[in-house]
Amino acid sequence: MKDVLRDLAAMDGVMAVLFFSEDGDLLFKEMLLPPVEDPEKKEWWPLLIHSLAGIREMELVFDRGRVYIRKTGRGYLLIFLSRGAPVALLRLHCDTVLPALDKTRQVGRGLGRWLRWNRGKGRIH
Amino acid sequence: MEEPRGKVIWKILIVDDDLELLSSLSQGMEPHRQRLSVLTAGSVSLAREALDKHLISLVVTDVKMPGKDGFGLVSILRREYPDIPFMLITGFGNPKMKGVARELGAEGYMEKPFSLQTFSSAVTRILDRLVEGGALQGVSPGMFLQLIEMEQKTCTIRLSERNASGDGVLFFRRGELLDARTGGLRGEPAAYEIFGMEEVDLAIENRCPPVGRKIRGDLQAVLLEAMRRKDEKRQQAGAKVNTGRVGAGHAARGLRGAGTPPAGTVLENVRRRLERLLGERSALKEITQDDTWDGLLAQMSRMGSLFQCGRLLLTYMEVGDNGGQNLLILPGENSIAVTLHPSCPRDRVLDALSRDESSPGGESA
Repeated sequence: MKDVLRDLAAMDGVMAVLFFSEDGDLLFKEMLLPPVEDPEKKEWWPLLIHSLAGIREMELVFDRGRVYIRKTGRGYLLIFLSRGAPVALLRLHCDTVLPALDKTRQVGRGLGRWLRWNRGKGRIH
Repeated sequence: MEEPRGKVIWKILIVDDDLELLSSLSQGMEPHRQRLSVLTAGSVSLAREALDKHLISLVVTDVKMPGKDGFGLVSILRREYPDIPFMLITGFGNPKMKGVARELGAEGYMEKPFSLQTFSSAVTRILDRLVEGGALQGVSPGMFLQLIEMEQKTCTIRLSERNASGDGVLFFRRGELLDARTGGLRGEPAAYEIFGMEEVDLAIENRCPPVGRKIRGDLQAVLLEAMRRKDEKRQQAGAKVNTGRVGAGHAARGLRGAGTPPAGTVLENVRRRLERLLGERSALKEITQDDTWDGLLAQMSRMGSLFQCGRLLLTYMEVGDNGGQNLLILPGENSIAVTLHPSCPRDRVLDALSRDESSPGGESA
């Protein structure tokens, strides 16, 4: 997952990439520019993430920047961008790489089940 | 005489100090008055006035005239109206004169006396070239001109308003709008006037004369400014628009601008801007005043402060799975929700409207 998100962070105009679980826990953070305030110290993330329920994709245009939000199978991806960032390219990149993120999760689940099953059989300690 | 193609009414300016000739040529072209309008001038200075006032499609000028002669007029045309083709007529013709005319870029050269039929054939041949790229009738200039931009066309477009007397000319090089002219206006002010026209007939000439770049903003910016000015004019004229969907008292900022215009007008302005921005492709489904998004937008606005992004201008969201609903939210005291078809060119809409929103003072309604 981290590789996928770091690839996104390396794109032109990206200032930061945050990834939250559906419960609003910060799972990944990559800051390309120092934020004015540390996002981890903000208590409103869970509320904000919950308010995104039902939204698949969102793009916010501010005076001096943009935020692109994308729902994935594992949570919500938030990408902070400069105002002139190539957002269409970023969306395209997300379309390409994010399904891999979901697949990682499925593999993880399967692996977890396999590990549990083998533990149950006493094959793994 | 075969009628020139296209519905644009061509204005021909004939310049000669021989007033009898002017009169007979003018009368001789009467049968074509549905497609041609003939203006005459007895001197170069009168011709200059006509050029300033009217959108002339062709200048026919005598060479030898008292005071400033035909070559003087050609020099004005080449310098200030490089898009207007010209034809030289003379009673003192010789091969050298013909060569000079060709070198000056004359589209035609005729030695007096000539028959009316020869004259009208020459006129038609020149005017046909002005419409070689095609002609369209009853289109919205904004919609069509964005196609020119997208196709990166190099052309000169002459437009005339269907239900009004406005006309104008636009110059595109590789899809970029370089200059415009209408009435006494040039450059951006002229482009605003032209883009503000409701429904036009237009003719496309597949070349752009060597005009300098007088329009700096891109086409979208010019279109939006044209719409804003048009809306402003309408409001000043007391135009009332009522969409009937919302109550009065809408005081949102940005696209809604200074003051508190009636809510119906605000929604109608947004609708018009989107439609003119994208034409029929805007696939605008619905515009409503909808404050159910205010809470979410307030949450989202907080995020911008992390990177000092400033105020939230616009939000685009896809709600539901499999391309459910595409919403554009214009935040304000009471937010406006625009439902768009999924095929709507989202980046274009966001770029254009956010540029509009972030301009000093925002758009006025």
